Amino acid sequence: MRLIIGGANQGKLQWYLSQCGCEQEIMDGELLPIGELPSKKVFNHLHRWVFRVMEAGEEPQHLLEQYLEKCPDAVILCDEVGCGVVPIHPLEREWRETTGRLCCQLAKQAAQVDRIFCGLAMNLKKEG
Amino acid sequence: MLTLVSGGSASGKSEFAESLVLSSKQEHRFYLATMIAFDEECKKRIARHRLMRAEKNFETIEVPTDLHTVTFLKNGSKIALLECMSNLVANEIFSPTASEYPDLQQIEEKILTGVRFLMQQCEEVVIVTNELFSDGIRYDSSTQSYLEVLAKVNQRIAALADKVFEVTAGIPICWKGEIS
Repeated sequence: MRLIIGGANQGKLQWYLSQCGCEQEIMDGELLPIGELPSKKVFNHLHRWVFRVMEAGEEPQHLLEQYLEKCPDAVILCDEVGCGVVPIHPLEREWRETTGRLCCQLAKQAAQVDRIFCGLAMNLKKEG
Repeated sequence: MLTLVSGGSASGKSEFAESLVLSSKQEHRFYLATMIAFDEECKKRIARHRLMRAEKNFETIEVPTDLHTVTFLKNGSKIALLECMSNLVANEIFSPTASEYPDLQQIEEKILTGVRFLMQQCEEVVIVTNELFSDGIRYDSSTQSYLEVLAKVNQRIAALADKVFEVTAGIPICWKGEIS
């Protein structure tokens, strides 16, 4: 599994697609039906999926683990969301915390972690 | 040569960008200021900054909008420091003279044209921008559009640039090129 992180609108997906040079099946965390296990290899906007799952009262971590079991070669793209003022709304607070923790956990498991900034990449981890 | 410097607020990005200019060998130093003085607080801030820069031999040019119209009336080699791209983009979209329904694509192109003009006129250009993209907040649609334009402009400048730095706690992290 690969993890690609960075601020919003930094060009994460564009960078990945320019790298891999092949057709990819992409799913968007903003649109993915909730209550259905994600199945495609490229998981864009993980942070939005996390929010929507939590909003529906479900628990994203377990679902994500199941997804990764089925799709161990996944490429997960997630915004970094932790650099602002603590949100007033409890769900947003919990979401921000969960997203950050999930990224830590994913980065531990990942074979490769890249961070995108202004369309440029910095490799933070690479195994093997 | 084009250098892009980004970072959060109070990250030390301005000081770092200024240090790049001060260590440059170009004959003339220009500071392209983008802030519009809306009130007394702004005016005071601007006056203080102008004074600080005059001591360092910067000539200040105000460019709150229309970067492409800037001209440099000096012979000899030049270096320009533009601060800050986040202001310039905001002014182009939100200033009282801006259109009520701004064409965001057109604004992006206009700013990039301005950047290319600067590069044609100056041997070195340093652009300071702002890292506003990691707070996880979903803003109203006009703010969201502003952030998208700024992010796009940042990406396009980074692609053109010889060097790109992210500054945190006053420490430059090099994303492109080398620290010399």
